[in-house]
Amino acid sequence: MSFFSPEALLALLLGSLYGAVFGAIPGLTATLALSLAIPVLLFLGPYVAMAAIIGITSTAIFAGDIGSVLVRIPGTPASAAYTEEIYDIGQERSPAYALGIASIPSAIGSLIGLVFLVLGSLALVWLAKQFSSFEYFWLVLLGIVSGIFAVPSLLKGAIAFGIGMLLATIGYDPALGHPRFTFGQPNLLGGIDFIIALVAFFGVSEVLEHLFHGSSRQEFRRLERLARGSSVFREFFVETWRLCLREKWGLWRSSVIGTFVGFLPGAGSDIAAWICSNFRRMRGGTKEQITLEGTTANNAAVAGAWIPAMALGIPGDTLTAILLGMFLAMGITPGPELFNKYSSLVVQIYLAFFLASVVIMPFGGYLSALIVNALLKIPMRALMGMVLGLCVVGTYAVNNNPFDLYLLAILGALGFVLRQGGFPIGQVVLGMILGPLLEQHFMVSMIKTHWSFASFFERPVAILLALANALLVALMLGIRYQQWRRLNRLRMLASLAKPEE
Amino acid sequence: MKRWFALLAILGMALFAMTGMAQKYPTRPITLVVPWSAGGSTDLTARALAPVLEKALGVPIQVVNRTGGGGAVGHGAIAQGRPDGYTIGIITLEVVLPPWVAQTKIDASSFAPISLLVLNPVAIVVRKDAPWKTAQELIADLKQNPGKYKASGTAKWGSYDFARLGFLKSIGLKDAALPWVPTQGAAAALQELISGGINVAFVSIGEASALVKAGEARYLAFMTDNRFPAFPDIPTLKELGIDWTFASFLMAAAPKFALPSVVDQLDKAFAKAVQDPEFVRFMNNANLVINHLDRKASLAFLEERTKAMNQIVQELGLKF
Repeated sequence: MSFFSPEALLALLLGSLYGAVFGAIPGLTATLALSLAIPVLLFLGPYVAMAAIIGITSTAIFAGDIGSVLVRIPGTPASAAYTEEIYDIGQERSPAYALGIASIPSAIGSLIGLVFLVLGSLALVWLAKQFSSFEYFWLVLLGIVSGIFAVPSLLKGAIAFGIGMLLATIGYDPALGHPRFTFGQPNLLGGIDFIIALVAFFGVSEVLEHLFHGSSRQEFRRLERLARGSSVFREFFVETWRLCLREKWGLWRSSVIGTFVGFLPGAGSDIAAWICSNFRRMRGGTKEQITLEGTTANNAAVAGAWIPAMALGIPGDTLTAILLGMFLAMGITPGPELFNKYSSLVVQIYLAFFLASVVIMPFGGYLSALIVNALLKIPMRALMGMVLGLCVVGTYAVNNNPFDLYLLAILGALGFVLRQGGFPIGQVVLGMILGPLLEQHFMVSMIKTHWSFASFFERPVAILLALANALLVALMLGIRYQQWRRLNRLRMLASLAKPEE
Repeated sequence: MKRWFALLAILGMALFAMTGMAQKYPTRPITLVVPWSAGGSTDLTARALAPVLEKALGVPIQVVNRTGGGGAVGHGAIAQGRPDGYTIGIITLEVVLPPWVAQTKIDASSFAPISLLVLNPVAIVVRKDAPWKTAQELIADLKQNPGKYKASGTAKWGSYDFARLGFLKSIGLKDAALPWVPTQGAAAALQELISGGINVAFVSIGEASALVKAGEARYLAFMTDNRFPAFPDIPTLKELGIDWTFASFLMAAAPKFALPSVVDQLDKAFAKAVQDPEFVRFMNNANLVINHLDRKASLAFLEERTKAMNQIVQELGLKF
C-alpha cells in the first residue's frame, strides 16, 4: 500500500489552492468551500478525497488572514480574533512580515495539533466525554470574561459584547421553541447568519469608513514603505522564525489550548483563536504576540476537531460535520473501526496534515505575500470597490437569499456607527458567537436539573472551570484597579506640578 | 366555407402546437431547490440524485441551496416558484410539524408532491451502561417513574421531539413523563447522552451508528415498520405492540399548481433515478433508506402524517 500517490499529492495541492481562494474572500468560508467540493470528492475515493479535504481546510483558515493584512477585513471567522493587530503589523512593518506571522506559527500550531491527533486521539476522547452542558457553560463564560477584559475600556467592551449577544437572540429560540424578534418575517426565523454579520461589521463598515475619511496621505506613506521594504523573503521567513523562537512558550500554550478547544464538540477554530488572543491581550501583549497566539490556535483547532470526529463520530465543528457525512457516504464508520479496519487511511490523514503544514502553509503563505505586495499597489479606492463587490457575492453565497443583502447593508451601517463611537467591532462579533452558546448551555443545564443552580458546581471538571472563572475575574479586576490607581497618582502629580490651572 | 377551413386549420395547428409543447416538457434546465445547507443529508441526497435524474430527463439539473429561516426560506421558494415544472425542490418533515407550520404559514398543501424519496427512521438510543436492556424495561421504568429521566435529540418542537411525543402518546404517557431537553441537534444531543446529561436520545439510526459501533451507546428500538437491514437484531416498536412509526423524510415536490402531466413525468423520472445502482450504493453507505412512493401515494403519505402530528398535539394538549 503506497501512501502518497501522485493523485493524492495533486489533490492536496489543488485543494489548498481552492481553499486559499475561499478563505481570502470575506463571506466564503472553509465550510462553504468544503461543502461545494463534496460532489467531486465523493467520486475520488477516500484516499484522494481526504488529502483534498485537509488541503482545503488548513489553507482556508490560514488564508483568512490575507484579507486582514490587505484591507483589515478577515476572510473567515477564525481570523476575526486578531484582525486589528495583524493589519497594524502589515502597515507598520511590512505585509510580508504580517503574513509570515499568519502562516509559520499556523504551520507549527497545526503540527502540534497533529501530534495530539496521532498520540492522543483515544485518550483525549475520555476528556471530551466529561463535557456536558455545565462544563460548556463555564468554558463559554471563560471566553466571555476574557473577551470583555481584553478591551482597554471595560464599559465599551461590555456594551459591544451586549450588542452582539442581543443581535444573536433574533430567530427561533431552540430552548422554548418560540421565535424572538422576527417581526413576523420568516427570513429571520433562523436568526442572523453569523457569517453575514462578520462580513457586514468588518467588510462593509470598513468600506464606509474609507468613504467618509478617505486618507490619501496615509496611502502615500504606505506606498513609500512598500517601495523601500526589504526583500519579502527575509521578512517572511527569517524575521518570523526569530519571532517564533522568542515566543516559543506562547506557541506551545496556544497550540495546546487551540487543540483542546478544537476537539470539544461545538467549539471550533474561531473560538480557539478568540480565547488565545484575548488572553494575551488581557495581559498586555504586543501586537505580534496577540497575532501569533491567535493564528497558532486556530490552526491547531483544525487538527483538534478531527479527534472526536475520528474516534467517536461526533463532529468537533462544522467542517468535521461535513467530513463525517463523507465518511458515511463512503461506507466508513468512524470510531475504533476506523482505526482497525482502515488504518492505512488514518496514516494517510496524518501524512496529509503533515504535508499541509510543513510544505503548503509556508510556501503558500510566501506566495500570498508576493501577491499581496502586488495588490497593495492598487489604489485603496479601487481596492475598496472590489472589496465591496466581494462582500456582496460572499453574503449572497451563504444562503442564496436576497434578503441577506438588505441585512448586510443594515448591519454594515450599524458597524460603521459603532466604529465611530469607538466600540470594538471584534467584541460585537464575539458576542454573537458566544452569546447563543452561553444561553443554550445555561438553558439545557437548567431544564435538565429543574432549575437547580447548585448543579453547576457538582461535577469535578465544572468546579475546576468555575474556579478558573472566579480567579480570572479577581485577577483582572486587581490589575485594572492598580492601573487606575497608578493613573490617578500620575494625574495628581501632574496637577501638583502645574497648579492654578 | 374556405374561411372556416382556414380557421379550423389554424385552430388545429394551435392545438397541435400546444400538445407538442406539453409533450416536450423538459426543454431547459430544471432547478432543484434544497432548503437545507450544503453538506447535510438533504443536500447530499439531492446532489447524488441530480446526475441520475439528468440521464432520465435529458436536461441539466441545477441543485440550489436556498437556506435560512430554519428551512422556511427554501420551502417558501419551492411553494412560490412558477408552477411550470422548471422549479422543483426537496421538502422535508418540517411541512407536517404543527409548530413549524404555525410559524411559517407553509404546510403540506402548499406543494404538489412528486415522489417520496427517502425515509430516515428514528431510533431510541441509550448510553452503554444504561439500566435498561430492552425497550420494554425502559417503558416500564417510565411508567413507574414519570419525569425521572430526560431525553433529547434536537430543539424544542423539532422533528425528533415529535418522535418522542408520539412514542409517549402511544404508550399512554404525557409530555412530562420523559421531558425534553432542547439541544442544537443530534450531535449535541449525543454528546449530552454520553457525558451523562440526558438518559435517552431520539435521533436517526444513521446519526447514532458511529457511537453504537464504537460501543458507547445502544439502540433499544427503531420506529420503523420492519426490521432495519443494517441492524437486524434491533426490534421495531410495532413488534413490541406499540403502534408508532416515525421517520424524517425527503420528498420531491413542485409548486402547488404544477400541471399534473408534468408532475407525472417528473415522478416517473424520479422513480427511475432512485433505482440507479450508483445512487443505491451511495444511500446505503450513508444509512439513508430509499423509499419511493409515486405521486398519489406521496400525497396520501403527507396527509396521513399531517393528521398523525395534529392528533399528537390534540391528545397531549400541547401549546406552542
